[in-house]
Amino acid sequence: MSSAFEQQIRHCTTRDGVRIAHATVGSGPPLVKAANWLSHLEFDGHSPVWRHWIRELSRHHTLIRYDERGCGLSEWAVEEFSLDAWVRDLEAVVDALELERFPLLGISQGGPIAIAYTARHPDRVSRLILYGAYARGRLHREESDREREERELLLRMISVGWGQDHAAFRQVFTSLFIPDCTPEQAHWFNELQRVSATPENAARMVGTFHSLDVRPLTTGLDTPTLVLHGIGDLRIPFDEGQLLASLIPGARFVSLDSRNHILLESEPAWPRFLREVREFLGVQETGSPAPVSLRQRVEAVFDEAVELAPADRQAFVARACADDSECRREVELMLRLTEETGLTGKVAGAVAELGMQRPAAIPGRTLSQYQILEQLGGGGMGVVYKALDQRDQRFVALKFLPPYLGTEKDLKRRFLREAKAIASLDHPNICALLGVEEAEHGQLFLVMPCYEGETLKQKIERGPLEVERALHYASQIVAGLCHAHAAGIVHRDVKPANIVVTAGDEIKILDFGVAKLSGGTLTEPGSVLGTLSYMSPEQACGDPVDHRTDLWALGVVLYEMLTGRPPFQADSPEALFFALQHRDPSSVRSLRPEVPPALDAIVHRLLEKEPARRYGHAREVAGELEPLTAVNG
Amino acid sequence: MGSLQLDVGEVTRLLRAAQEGQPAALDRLVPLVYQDLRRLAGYQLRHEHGECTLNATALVHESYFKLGQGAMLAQDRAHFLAIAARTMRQVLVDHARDRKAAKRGGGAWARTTLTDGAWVGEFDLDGMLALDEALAELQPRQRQVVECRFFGGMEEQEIAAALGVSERTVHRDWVKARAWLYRYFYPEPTG
Repeated sequence: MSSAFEQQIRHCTTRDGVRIAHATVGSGPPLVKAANWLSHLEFDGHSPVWRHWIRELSRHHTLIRYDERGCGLSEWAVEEFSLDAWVRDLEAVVDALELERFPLLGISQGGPIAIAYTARHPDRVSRLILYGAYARGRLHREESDREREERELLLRMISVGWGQDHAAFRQVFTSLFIPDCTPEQAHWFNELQRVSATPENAARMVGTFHSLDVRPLTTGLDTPTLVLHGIGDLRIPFDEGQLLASLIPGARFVSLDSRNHILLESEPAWPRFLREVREFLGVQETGSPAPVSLRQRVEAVFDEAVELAPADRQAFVARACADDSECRREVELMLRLTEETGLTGKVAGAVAELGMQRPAAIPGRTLSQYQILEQLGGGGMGVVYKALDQRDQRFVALKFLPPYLGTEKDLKRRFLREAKAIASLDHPNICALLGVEEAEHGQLFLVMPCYEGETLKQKIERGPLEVERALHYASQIVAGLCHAHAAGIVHRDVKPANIVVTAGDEIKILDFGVAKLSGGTLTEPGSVLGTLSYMSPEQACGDPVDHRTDLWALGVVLYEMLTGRPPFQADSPEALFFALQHRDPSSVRSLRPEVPPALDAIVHRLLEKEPARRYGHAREVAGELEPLTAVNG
Repeated sequence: MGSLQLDVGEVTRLLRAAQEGQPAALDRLVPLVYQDLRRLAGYQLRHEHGECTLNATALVHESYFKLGQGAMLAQDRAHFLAIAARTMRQVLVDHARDRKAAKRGGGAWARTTLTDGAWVGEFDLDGMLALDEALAELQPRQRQVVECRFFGGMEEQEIAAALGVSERTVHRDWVKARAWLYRYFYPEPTG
């Protein structure tokens, strides 16, 4: 499978002829990680147990890792496992990469190897970092009978249990190494044990670890050293870390609040570890003084929040972000995005536009019989161009649809079928669909008449409309809806921006059925709020909708024409969503007393949360509007 | 179309070996797939349209189809497509880099010209590299899911089989990844 990081895996050979795989990730000055067992260069890159180590340690450095003999991608058929042999592995990698001087990191049993290497090559190692490490193996520690039995039992479990198809025996080690892991992390770590070494090699290695003792090598060290250890480390006791720090002259010791032998990304000890290590290595954090980037902070909270029920997310995010308001804002935005419909299409469209099959819509070019004149609608999906239809000598609007619509066969077929139905609509208040055509590479575009005039949105932005004018427009919108609904076509995206008022005060409803065609609203990216404002409660919930969703939207448009503002307003999509579902808007008359009570009542009924409580058909609305129009008009 | 370079027996053997944890098998397979895709892409670029457009998904599937339909088990097929999808991304990125280098001068790539008066697609080199960057920032499995979808045109079920995780996990990864990608493409906050 693919590499998790852009890592280059190479091989070198030790003095005793063992093939060692090593990999570099990132750029900048080198940082060498002495190998520990249970490693696999490729697998670890994907693993939620190790990948944050690789990602973070390579953020400011060229991280150099390797699999020690008997492990991962290095040679498995090995005769000798010993401290000396493991130091040879490290020497081979350093020599192959021609590294002169570098900081060296040793984790767990990588610690004694790093110490032995540093003792042998003091000029090469600029700084030494030891995490979860030890100076003496278990055989050199005082051991109770129980501890001895446990040691022997674990060793037998490796020999007997690791090769089994089930993970029960391996799970024991996982529980010792990373007790606070998620099930997914446990799965990866169980697997790591299986893929990183044979049970025989693993047992031989562990047996050798127990006999290591580098205490005599520590006293002569003259290298700046940082020792870190988890207080509750179940694998290597905290005391061993403290002992190590006390042995190495001038070593700085940092205790971490963790039970995990391998620090997990989600625990607070992890950023602490990174901060300490980076400070020790003299890494200058650019920009933000925080040790972890915004992206990482957001990612950590977001990943967890997504797993929660939507109702629990907000409280969780508030707690998890505490006073990190920047992070909180981003996470909340991300969470909203996960709930937004049509996002897949937008992202797919953007990708398709980027790399492949991107329409280079250039005014002046001619496409079929259409000469492109200028872009009408802004960027995003569904770009609209004004064009001259050279055959019929008239202006048209061309709306280009997301490229993927044209390349996915099933979608395209469905699209064309529905477009045909829409094209059959013929009504003075509906913007006709003149046709659907195909550009090169299958990209589809809609051909529509091009109207001179302004949208209802532009009109409302200048303030509420006169009541008579609002009624005049409303009855035309209703007439258009009546016609379409009778033909079984629902608009789904009625809003002031989709309604053009021509110079002759005639209403043209644009984009009939386009929302459905494209599998979502074809709005500008980044207008969640704008889109949600006109959605009916059932539509906002993602429930199936029928023609009554248009009646709701009509209510919103009417309300806005009369009061100058939409019935529901809020600062966030969540709040808006809540208002849509649960709040009654202020009555139109409370904002505009001169509106006739009958008209207020119509708006109120259009804005019923329950579709069944709205009008059954646009015809009924027309019937109720008519006497009002007669009186006022 | 050139000679058949991928042999179904060999590919299946390498796929299995890779699944059994022999990464050397992948080292053998990926260059084969890369060559194949690159050749198909070059063909499409130079001859089919006369312009710089690519249908990556189609190429990945074409590469698979040449192996002979039905010759592979579903699991192997999924694995192959996943590998091919990732490799396709690499082909495109390399292509974008090459083209940019060529545009800076002296490169080996024949520069394609845009046909006058035609509605032409332009292979967006910077865009492709930017997408590559956006993908690189994703968590590894999320990235694989996106690659499988965008470059391999794979269903969630197939992706789950290829990556050895549940469909639910694939879906979760997709939901997360697309939110990140959306933020990447449209960095302005909404609302």
